[in-house]
Amino acid sequence: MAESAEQPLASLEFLYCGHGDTILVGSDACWGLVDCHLTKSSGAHARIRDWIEERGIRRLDFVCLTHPDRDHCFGMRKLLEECFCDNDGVRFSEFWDAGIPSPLMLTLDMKLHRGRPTITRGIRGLYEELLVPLARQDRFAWRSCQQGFEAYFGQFRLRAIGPKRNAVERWKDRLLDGREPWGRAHREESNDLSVVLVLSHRQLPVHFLLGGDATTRAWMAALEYWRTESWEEADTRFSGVKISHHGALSGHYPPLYELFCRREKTVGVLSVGPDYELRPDAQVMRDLTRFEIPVFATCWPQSSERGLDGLPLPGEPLDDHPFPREGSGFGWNDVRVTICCDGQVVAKPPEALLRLSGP
Amino acid sequence: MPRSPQPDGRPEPPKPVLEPSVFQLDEKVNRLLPEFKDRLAEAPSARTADVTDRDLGEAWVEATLWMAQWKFGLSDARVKAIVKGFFRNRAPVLIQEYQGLVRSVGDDAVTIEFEIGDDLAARRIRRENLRGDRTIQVGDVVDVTTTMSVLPIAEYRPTREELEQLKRAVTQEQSLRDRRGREDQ
Repeated sequence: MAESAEQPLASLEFLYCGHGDTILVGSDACWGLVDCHLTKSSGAHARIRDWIEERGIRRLDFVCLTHPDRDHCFGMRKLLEECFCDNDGVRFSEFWDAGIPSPLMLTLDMKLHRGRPTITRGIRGLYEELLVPLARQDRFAWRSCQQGFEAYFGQFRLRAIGPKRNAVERWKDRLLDGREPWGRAHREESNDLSVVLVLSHRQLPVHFLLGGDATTRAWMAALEYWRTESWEEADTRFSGVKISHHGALSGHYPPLYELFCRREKTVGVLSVGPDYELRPDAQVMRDLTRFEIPVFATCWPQSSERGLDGLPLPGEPLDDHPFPREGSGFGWNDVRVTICCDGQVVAKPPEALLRLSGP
Repeated sequence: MPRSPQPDGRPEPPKPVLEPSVFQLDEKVNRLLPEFKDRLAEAPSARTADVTDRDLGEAWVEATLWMAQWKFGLSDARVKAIVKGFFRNRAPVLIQEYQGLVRSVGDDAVTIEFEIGDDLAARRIRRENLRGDRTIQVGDVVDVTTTMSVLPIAEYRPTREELEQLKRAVTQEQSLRDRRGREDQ
C-alpha cells in the first residue's frame, strides 16, 4: 500500500495499551475517543496524555464506551477528569454507550460474579462519580448508541449498526421482570450488546468499522442491518475494520471479511497485548489470511518461529508482562490509520503489519 | 407429543439444542478430551496430572470452536473458566485478572493489595513467582491473577425490594439519557 501524499481527511490512532482498546479519532480538528484502557504498565496512560498535549486537543466531540468491560473502560474516568474537565467546565460534548443502565451492570456484577473489579471499579467510578453528577447538571449530552443512531463528525458521519435497540430493552426487561432467575435472563452478555460504529465519509465511499468486542451473534445482526441501511451507498464494503474482541474466536464472523471487505485493500487493525495467550486466535488469523486482509497489530511477535502462521499458539507460555520488554519476542507500537483525500486508507507503522504464512 | 414421521417413514430426528447449558458444555469437554480425562483420573490429584498449558490451550480452542458452531450466548471467559476448572480443580472456577497496588516489598516476597468488589484483599507473592519485571517497588500497580468459584448463576433471583430499588435507579439514570433528543422532538 503506497502512502497517499494528499492531506488526510481523518486519522484513527489505536494506542498500544496491552490487551484492550484505546482509539482516538480525529477529523477537521474534531476529536473523539472510542474506549479507553489506560494501564500504567503498558505506558498508555502517559502516552495518551502526551499525545493530547502535543496536538493541543482541548475538547472531545464525543466519547464512546462500546461496552462496560475493564479492557475498554479502565482509566476513562481519570482521563476525562484530568484532560477534559476543569474549573472552566466539561470539555466533552457527548457520551455514547449501548444504553445498558449502570445500576443493572453493577448489581449483576456484584450478585453473579461476586463483584469483579474488572467491571465494578471502572464502571462505578465512571458512571456514579463522573457521568451521573455531570448529566444532572446538563454538562454534556448522554446518548444511547444503538442501531439507527447517527452523528456528524467533521467531514464524516458516525452510524451505529449495533446493538439492536430491542436487544438492549429485552435484556433490561428480563432482568427487571423478576419472574425468572437472573441466570436465565442473563443470556446476553455485554459483548453481545457491544456498540458497533461505522465511520463514513459524507461523499467518498469510505467506511471504517469499529465493533468493540461484538460477538459472532452481534455481527450477524449488525451486518444485516448495514446491508439494509447502506443500500443507497455507492460501495458498502469497509475500507478498514477493527478486528473484533482482540482476535477472539467468539467475535469472529468470516462473512464480514469475505463479503464486506476488499481483498488486499481493507485494512484490519488488531489491538492485542502479549499478556493474553488466547488472543488473537489462530483460526481468526487463518481466515484473515485467506481473505487477504492486511492486519496491523498494536503488538506482534518478532520471530516467525513462535507458532503456526507466525503467531503464538493458544496455550503457549508467553511473556505476560503487558509492556513487551527487549528480548521478550514481541514488538509493539501505536497503529495510525489515515483516511486520505482520495479515499485511500493507509496504516502505519509498516513493522506492525503481520506477515502471516500458511501452516 | 409424537413427532411427525419423515417421508421414508422414519421419525423426525430430534432438533439440536441451540442453547446448551454450562452442564452440557462440561459434558462436551469430557467427550472431546477423553485422553486428558484419563490422565486426570489416574493421577492422585489434578495438580500432579501431566496436563500442560498447551493441553489446556487446545481444550480451550476445541470448546470455543464448539461454542462458535452453536452460537450461543455464553461468554468465552466463562468457557475458559469451565475448561480450566475441569483440569485444575475438577470444578468450575473463574480465572480473574486484577490490578493491585504493591504495599510492601521484602527480600523474598511482596504484598499486593487489590479490590474484590467493595472489599480489599491482600496477597503475598514470592518473588520467584512474580511475572515480568522483578524490580518492583512500593506503589507500583501490577497485574495479579487469581481464581474463585463461580456462583450458581442460574439460581440467583433478586427479592421484590431489590427489584424495586433497581427499577428506581434505572429509571433515574434513564431520565438523564437522550435528554437533548427528547427536547429536539
